[in-house]
Amino acid sequence: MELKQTMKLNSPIVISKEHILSDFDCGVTSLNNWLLRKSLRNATKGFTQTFVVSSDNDLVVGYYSTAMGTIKRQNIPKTLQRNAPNEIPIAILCRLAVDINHSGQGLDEAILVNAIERIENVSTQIGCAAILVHYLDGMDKFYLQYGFIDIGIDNTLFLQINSTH
Amino acid sequence: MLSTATQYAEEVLLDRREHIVADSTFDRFAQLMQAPFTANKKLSKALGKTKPWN
Repeated sequence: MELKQTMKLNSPIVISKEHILSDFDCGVTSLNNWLLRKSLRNATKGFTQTFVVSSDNDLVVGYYSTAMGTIKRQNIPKTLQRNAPNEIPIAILCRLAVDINHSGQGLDEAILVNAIERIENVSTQIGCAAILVHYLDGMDKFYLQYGFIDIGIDNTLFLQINSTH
Repeated sequence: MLSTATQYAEEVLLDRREHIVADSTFDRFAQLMQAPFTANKKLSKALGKTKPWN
């Protein structure tokens, strides 16, 4: 325990091939596997970007991934009298996970804040109306405490942009 | 141990990029987007905290 407390962590940076992913275990197999098998390739292709928190030896202890997405109206109205367009660009926090050996130290919260701040910075450069988070069953409680709202899309919560200002 | 099928379902869920929603959901979303912002206490507090990597 004391060892963990004194272990120095690096602030979130873009994932690279120097990072050691194989030891990461957040307790959810699909999130472990995705980091190991897809995060780097997706980042190279621009499908998602992944930011990792690592310890001194480049061992990844937490990560989050982002992508752009869209919300579309099912039935497009024939007239153009609406205030909002029929399709709205959003940023998606697709995945967020912390290694079980580093849980309970507020790392999940710090990573979430970093993700929100980063997305809000992006929203000053590219049209992006909200943050959506996709979560696995049972993880909604974590996001709801920070003001995320259920808007009736399965396993998805919404956060207004500029929530940090 | 979760099955491969469950893992695949989780992948699909998290990899969604396009949400085509009912008009009522879309309108609610557009409304929320423009609503005046009310600060969330826990988030505000979290923003000011020293980060574990500092």
